[in-house]
Amino acid sequence: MAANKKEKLSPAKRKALMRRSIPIYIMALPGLLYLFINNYMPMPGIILAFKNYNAKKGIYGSPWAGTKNFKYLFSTQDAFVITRNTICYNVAFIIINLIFAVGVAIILSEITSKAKKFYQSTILLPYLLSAVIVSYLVYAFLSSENGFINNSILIPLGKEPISWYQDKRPWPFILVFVNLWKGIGYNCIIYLSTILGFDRSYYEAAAIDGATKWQQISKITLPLLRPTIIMLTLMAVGRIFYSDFGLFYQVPQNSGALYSVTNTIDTYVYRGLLELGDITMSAAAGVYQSLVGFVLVLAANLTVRKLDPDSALF
Amino acid sequence: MKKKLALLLAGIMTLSLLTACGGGSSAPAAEAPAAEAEAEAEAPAAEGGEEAAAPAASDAAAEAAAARIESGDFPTVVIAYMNFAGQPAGMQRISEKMSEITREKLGINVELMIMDSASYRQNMNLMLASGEQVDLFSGLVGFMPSVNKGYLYDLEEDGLLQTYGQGLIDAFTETELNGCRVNGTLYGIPVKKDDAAGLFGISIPQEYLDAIGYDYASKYEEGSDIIYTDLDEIEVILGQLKEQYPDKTTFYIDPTSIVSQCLEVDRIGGDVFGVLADPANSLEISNLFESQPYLDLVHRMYKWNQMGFFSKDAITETQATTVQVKAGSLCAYKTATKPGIKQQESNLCGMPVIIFQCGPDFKSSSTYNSMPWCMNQNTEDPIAAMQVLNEMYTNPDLATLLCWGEEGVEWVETEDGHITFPEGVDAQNSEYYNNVNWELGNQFIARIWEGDDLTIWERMQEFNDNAPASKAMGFTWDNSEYSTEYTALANVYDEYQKQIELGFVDPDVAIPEMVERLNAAGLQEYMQAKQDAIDAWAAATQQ
Repeated sequence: MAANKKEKLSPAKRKALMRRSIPIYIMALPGLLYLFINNYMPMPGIILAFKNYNAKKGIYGSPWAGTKNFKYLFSTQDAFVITRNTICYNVAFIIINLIFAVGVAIILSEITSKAKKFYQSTILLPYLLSAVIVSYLVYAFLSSENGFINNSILIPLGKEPISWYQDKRPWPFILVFVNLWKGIGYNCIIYLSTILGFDRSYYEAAAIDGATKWQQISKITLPLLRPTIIMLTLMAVGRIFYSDFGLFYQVPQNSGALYSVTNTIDTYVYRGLLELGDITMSAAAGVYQSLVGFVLVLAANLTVRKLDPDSALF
Repeated sequence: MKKKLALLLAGIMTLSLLTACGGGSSAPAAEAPAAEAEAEAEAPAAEGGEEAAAPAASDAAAEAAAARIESGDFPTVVIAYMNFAGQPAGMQRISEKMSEITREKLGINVELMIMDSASYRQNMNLMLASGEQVDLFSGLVGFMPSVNKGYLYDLEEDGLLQTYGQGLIDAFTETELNGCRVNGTLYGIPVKKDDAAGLFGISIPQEYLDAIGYDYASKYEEGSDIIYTDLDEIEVILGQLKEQYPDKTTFYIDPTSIVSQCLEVDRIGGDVFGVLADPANSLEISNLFESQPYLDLVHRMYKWNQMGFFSKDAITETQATTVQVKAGSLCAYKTATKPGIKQQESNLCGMPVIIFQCGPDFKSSSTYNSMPWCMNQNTEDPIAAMQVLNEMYTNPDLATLLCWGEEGVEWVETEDGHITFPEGVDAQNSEYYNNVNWELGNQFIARIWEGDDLTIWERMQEFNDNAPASKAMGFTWDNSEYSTEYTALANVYDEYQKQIELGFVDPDVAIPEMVERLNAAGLQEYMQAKQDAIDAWAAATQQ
């Protein structure tokens, strides 16, 4: 992208380029429309976060509420816990998912047998399951009375069974593992397709010069993959203030004993507003998450630009 | 995820606001039938004197209906409520049958809109916010939040209720209607149901009691189908059940209703943060978690859990208790009792049960506004909607249609005056079998299903009238100014509730910890606000 800027095009050339791109713009149109309808048109709704909404008066006629709607997010000691959980889990997810996704993508790209399609589909399958189903799969392992781990592993080994849904210590690991298991197939798709798009002649040349597989991976695949890694990581950083609601709400079976390690901003908002059904307060949570996400993307991009200008998004 | 939802919602509302504004301003002018204008002209005349005489009011109502019938231009009133199975197959047909009655009598068509409980609240919120047509709806959508968001029509605006809803005024006492007033404005009509609850009922299948040799037959008081006892005796029974059926879970208590159905406290506004601990005598708000009844309860549950009565997975249990009994995995559970409870629970469990009751009967202040019928604030024809509501509560044929469906299709009359399924129809294949009659306005005037006593509603009325009532009856708590505190409190309570109330942690350790965190989250301020509101209300009503 940065390279484009450096090229100076003559006006005539630019016009020709534009004309040639028209079909591409048309192809992009449905996607842009979708983006506009879904992401831009609701933006005036942000105003709700600062209103005392009343249906009789309408959104614009409702009285202003100042920052009252935001207060509940910061008012208690929970504020620290939910912010910590949201950010720490997401940082862990970003790092671990990145390592495993790239690893699996490289392994898959090296497999040439027909079984490759099978492996890929198998790895992708958990991603397609709903969080509720995943939560019951986990439950089948962890249930105190009938769970696999207690009944088939711990008891035969002569160990004390564990009340998994009341003991918060293992949950950070369980959640990271479940997230990895569920998301890895999807996360590695983009890396895999990027790798498959690399020019094979690099590898052939390297093989002729006697490079081992490991050298090929570390000297060719990973450097070529870097822009993709940076881009996807930046996008993930932008969502660092959002959490996968299904993972944090369904998988721990909404067990109160685990809140201190499973409560994130999304689950906190959900639990608190379930009874109130207050639109303005949930809008406030949305605005807060978007703002922090926005700032984080800018900051992350700035850092990348300092370190490696070519890889920055903008 | 949440943000996307919120924004999407906001977007939909923005859009609909535009359309609603456009439609709202032009539609009445263009479409309002002459009849309506006439009726409206009539209305002020009827309410001219504050104590408008009933005949004058009914005249106005009859004239409005006559004018509509004459013009032949029938408005449609949309009625929404929830059930547990989603839209029934016979909904259109029942709508048409109901319309036949209302067309002839009122010159109005009605249309039912039935949603399943899981999506009712969300769908209704969207429809109310977006201006889609829905005129009358069950307040299970959340009464106070709806009031605060301005969704509800003031039912007494321009004497609407007095002029067109005389039947509703007759059906309820002033106290009952006051339960749906917020700051003096009437936003809903209560439903005819069990207003009181017999606290700490325990239901145990007869078969299991026979197996441990428990003699329940001699324990009944004269003329009652409930055995009044105490928790000590239940504890003995549960111990024997545990011995007899070691593979079954002995006892389960649904944590969502543990406070409301076991303790004689009035949860002001329906939340547990600040309750009347002595509701019959005092309006003093106190902290539930430090009150003796609550501490006794949780200590008892802790003991029972230690004795192995609960499943180790009780905290993550999501199945309804009666389903567990039906599946043969549970021996006993808590319920709230009322006349007919034995029949109801036996039906739900699929086997005869014996009902015990360990607490008194009690009527809490939030009973009337728990699920009142409400009118949409932007309903186009409030007069028509009010007349339909009035008819729902006063016309037995209409009530029976709404509750049970069509005669000959969904039900037939039996020899003794009950109704039941026709040949070949059952709960599974019936096209209109909701089982939510407690929600549908006035089930007291509808037909009675086989299995229930023909005098059930008289007994119910007696039960409602005789149960000791909270002193705060008629008070409604508006927590909109304290939503920040409420959210924080709800989160803390959620974290501890199941562990403490199902006895998984020692209450002597956990309760002080929870109370400390609740105080940090603003419990005292929230309770003080409740106290101030209730004092102000008491001062105003005692004048």
